[in-house]
Amino acid sequence: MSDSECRSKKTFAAASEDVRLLTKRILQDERLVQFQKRRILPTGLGIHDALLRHVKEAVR
Amino acid sequence: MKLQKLIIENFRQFHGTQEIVFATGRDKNVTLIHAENGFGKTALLNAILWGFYGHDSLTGDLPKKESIIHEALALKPDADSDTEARVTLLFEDRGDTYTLVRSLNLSQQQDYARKTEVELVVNRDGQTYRDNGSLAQRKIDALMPPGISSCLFFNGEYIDHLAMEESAHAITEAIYQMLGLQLLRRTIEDLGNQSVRGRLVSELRDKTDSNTKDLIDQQSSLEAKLADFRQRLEACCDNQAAVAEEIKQIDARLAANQETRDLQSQRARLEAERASLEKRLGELNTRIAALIAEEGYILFSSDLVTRGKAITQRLREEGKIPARVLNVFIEDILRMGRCICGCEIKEGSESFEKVKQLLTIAGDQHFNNAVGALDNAIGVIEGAVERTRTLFRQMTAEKVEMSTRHDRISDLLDEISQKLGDKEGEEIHKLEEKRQSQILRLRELDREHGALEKEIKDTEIQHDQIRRQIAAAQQQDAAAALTQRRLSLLEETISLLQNILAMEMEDVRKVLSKEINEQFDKIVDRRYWVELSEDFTLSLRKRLDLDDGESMDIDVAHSQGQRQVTSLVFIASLVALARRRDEIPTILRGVEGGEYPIVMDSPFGHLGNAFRAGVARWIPTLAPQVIILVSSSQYRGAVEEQLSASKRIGRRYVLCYHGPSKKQEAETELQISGTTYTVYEESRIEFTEIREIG
Repeated sequence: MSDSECRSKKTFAAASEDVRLLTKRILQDERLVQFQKRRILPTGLGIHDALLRHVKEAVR
Repeated sequence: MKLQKLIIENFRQFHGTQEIVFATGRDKNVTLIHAENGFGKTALLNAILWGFYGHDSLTGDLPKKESIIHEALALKPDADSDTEARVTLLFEDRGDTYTLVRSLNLSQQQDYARKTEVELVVNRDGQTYRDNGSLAQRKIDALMPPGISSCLFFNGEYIDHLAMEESAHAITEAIYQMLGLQLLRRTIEDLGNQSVRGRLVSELRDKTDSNTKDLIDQQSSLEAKLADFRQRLEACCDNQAAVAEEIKQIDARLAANQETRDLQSQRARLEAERASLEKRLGELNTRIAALIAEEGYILFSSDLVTRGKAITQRLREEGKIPARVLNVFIEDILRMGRCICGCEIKEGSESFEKVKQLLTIAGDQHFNNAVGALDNAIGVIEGAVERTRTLFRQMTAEKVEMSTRHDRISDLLDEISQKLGDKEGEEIHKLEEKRQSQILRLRELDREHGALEKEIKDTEIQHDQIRRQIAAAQQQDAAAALTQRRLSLLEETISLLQNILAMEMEDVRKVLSKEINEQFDKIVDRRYWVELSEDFTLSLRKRLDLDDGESMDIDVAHSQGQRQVTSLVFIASLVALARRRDEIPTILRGVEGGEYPIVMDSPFGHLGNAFRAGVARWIPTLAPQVIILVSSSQYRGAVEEQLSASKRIGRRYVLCYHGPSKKQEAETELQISGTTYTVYEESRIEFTEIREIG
């Protein structure tokens, strides 16, 4: 299957800019903690706090 | 990743320091370890797992998990508290070489055996880096994610459960882990968590009006209900699995008992046939329903057909169809004011009125066409009536036949149960009684499962309706409106990720299904194939030719050997796909292909001779590095032949057991490629020795 046939990429591309941006930031943080037990980011913030912060910053 | 060496020190039954060097060549990628049952295969597999992950990874079949250090050392009266068990794993991954050391000393084992010391040293570009503790573990988990270990290090005799209907969850788990989709799933869970979404909802509730507050409260109550239903469903699934396992064990005991073996074997065949019939009946019912939906009207249309034919007959008799003269022709004459014979026809004249009267009996082209279409339709329906009726009769007859056979089988099964229950021998009687009660329990659990799934579905619909109402509610307060927008964005993001995950899983499923069949073709004849269904159930299928010239694809009722092959093929396909992960498009970045070794204890366990040769021939191609632990009973014959012929065996070992006694069926010597090797030596202390052989 080629990139152009990939439904998930098309679906992502069709989402609003806000949603896409938020998704990218969230996935970036999730990747950093994916193998950790305690799931604390290098900044010291727990993953849930970080995700909430991203949502709030996306809508001011 | 390739494992280079395993060094075991005083781990379980391995006394002193012993090592295995693994085959790592491209053409010689198989390490074969011969060991009789009870001589240390399980302990060796667990040494690797413990090395990577510590105590939590030890397999279910390893007894006394808290006893890691060799007993002769641990139970000595004057044992030194520093006495330790240690596992060292040397491996390479993407050009870097790693030395992983995990240890546990006696004092720690007595205190809390789960707390081990771990160190990871990596050599990269001539530099050495060292980590300990949780940092080391994090790096190990990144190299070899814990979620995939059950797919890479396993006992072949216990993986057949993957090919059972109730293992769809285990299948999806394996896919999530091996192909990196776990990240998406975790993200969705985190976003929906009380600490993220829950906090926004709570904030909205604090700032909003009473109507929205009510809606939020209703939503919270539905969420609590959903959580409860899901928990109960999970418990129900666990219970179903436990009861199914218990029935399986009772069946195994009855099959092993000489008195009951034949009856049990008959029962197993009949149950498999009944399960297959039930599946086929389900598929037939679906076909009947489709026939009724698409063509059922035909069977009730004879009255309409008769009336339609009467109407067209009357119109023909009246000369109205086919029309001899068309309206359009008459209208042209009247408009031109001249007849076809050339005479003038003036408006208002007698000739004009006479010609105009013809309009009432002349035909309309559209009307002509409509009658033609009606004639056609009547012809089609009349032709289809008999065909539909015949097909319906055939299907109904087939259904009756299958239902009768099903009932007959149920009666036979009841008879067998009765005979087993009547057997002399308290044990048999009790086993059969227990079995019957567990069958009833399983049926209850199945009903409960269905009911809970329905409750969850209905509650999710209600929850979604309330969520939309909250999102649409007009907020007077600016702060509430802001929180509402944030919540909407969050919900939208969750929904997007859920859709993406579903799509990527479906895309993976299709690719994986194809891979599974390519692998399966190498082992089994082509009448069969493996299907990974949309609900992630693995099943063995075949095409059944029916009497009416059609054919139907049906599930083959698996024997344990067939389930084991199906499960092995699934794992191999997943590993193969993991290697080529970057070929499957995904929105996730950094999802690269990964090569992993496979370590299998007794992969030929329940396989009949027909499968053994095929599996043995195929196993060296499973992964870049394959490590097989095998007993003599499994190795003899087809397996030895195929593995030797493959010329892929790079390293070979036997586990020699020392102890005061051994299991009766375990050999004391093994014949391998014409040479005899001792595998049991009598000794006061129990331990296993690893010996390399030529």
